[in-house]
Amino acid sequence: MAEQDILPPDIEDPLFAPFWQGTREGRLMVQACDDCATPRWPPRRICPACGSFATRWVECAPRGTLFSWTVIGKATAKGFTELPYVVGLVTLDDTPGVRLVGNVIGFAPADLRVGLPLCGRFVDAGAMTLLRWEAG
Amino acid sequence: MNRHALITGVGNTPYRKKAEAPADVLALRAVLAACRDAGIDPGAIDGMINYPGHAAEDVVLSNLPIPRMRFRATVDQGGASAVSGLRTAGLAVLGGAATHVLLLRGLLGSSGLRKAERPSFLPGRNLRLQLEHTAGWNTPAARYAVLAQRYRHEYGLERATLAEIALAARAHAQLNPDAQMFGRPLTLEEYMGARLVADPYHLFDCCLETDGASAVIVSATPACGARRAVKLLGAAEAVGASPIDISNRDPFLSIGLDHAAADVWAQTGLGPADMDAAMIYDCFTFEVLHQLESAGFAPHGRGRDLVADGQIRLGGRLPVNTHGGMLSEGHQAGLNHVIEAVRQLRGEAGARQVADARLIAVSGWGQLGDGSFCVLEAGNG
Repeated sequence: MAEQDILPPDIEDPLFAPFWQGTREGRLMVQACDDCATPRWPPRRICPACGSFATRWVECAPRGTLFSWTVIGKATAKGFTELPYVVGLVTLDDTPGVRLVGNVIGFAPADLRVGLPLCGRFVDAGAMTLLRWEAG
Repeated sequence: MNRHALITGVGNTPYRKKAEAPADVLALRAVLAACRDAGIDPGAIDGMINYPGHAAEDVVLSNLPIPRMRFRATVDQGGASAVSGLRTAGLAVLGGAATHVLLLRGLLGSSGLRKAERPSFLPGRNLRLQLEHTAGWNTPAARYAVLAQRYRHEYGLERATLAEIALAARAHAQLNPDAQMFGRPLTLEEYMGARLVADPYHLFDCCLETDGASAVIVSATPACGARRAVKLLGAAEAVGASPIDISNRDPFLSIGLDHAAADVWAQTGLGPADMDAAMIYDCFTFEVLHQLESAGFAPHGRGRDLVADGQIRLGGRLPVNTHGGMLSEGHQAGLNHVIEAVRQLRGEAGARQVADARLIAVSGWGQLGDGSFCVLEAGNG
């Protein structure tokens, strides 16, 4: 994959900036409620558990298991020209209520299965740092 | 309530890979055909439901003499909009807001800008750009594929089941001269050999992109005669769990149709076994299976039993998408499913007629899993 060609989002957007700042530092930061501590993903304004607007970000270990995935065989996104590539949903080991979307790398498509242990790898993509997932 | 809104007119252009006219001309042809079918002058249209990205009220109002447009709304739920819009139109005519409400689709979806190049109307645009496009997760096929893969883990999913959904649709389209794939049968070998799009979806698991237009008129009174007016017996729309996000959905396979179909069965006192056919929003093959289960036509995880042995083909237990659907008739964002149900219920479907069709269910699927559902009943007399 040509990481440098991936269209960067607005990494300064306050709703997502702590995540992108974290990946830049090699840390996985996830949003949580500052009142009841419930982690939540993707980021949003209000805690679905208690209704609080108060937000903090907590560091999670970049380890997880594969929840679902797809193998992409047709190139339609800038920076994703090497085919096939894998988009996975990864459940975090230490925060099971959170699943992250990310590319799963280093596997033959036929070897992918639900529950596969995965380890995060921070990949420089120029404007931002991506979190990708490899055999853990 | 004993009163029901009526579908009094339907019209469409042929569905093609490349049309010989621009989208607005196609749309106007479909509108005029639907008016003729309903037995009304275009000037009698006094309501319209718009759908983002397709020919809309500006095309209609700038070209047709419509002196009293008194109800306009936009239903923006992606592919769920056709059935949700039908419901909105029904509420409008029953509530007295309008007498004849137009639903319209018209687009050069194949020879013009393709899906990936057109503006996106998906909700949660920033979330999509932040966390999904940065992983190359950016197309409907890829988004919905993770649902199918997880289903495969939970219940099992053979490629033969998806193949039968695609092949049944293609076989039906061979009986439909308006279909984009009319005259182009598909074999199992061709299906199995198709290139990968987003596993488990290969080329023939994906709906078409189409040039064409479709129009439906919903009315309070049957200008066209009671026999031809099809009753909107019940309709509902709903969202599933975490409707703006698939990734953290729980239950993961929850979709809006779970609720919409339950609401319609409760409204009508009918159930899946009462339906003579079903028109299911077939953006992708697995979503037909998923929705058949969600609406109660098969238990969760057992849709494959319903799909097997030709049961969803003409002559089978539950003929599905007798026009060929979006997989083989054309992509009209599901309004063609409504049109087909109406023609079946009037007995006008020709070589693909379902014998004695009295009740037909139509589903819609849009955005990240919004759902809509309705039951249509043949007119009296």
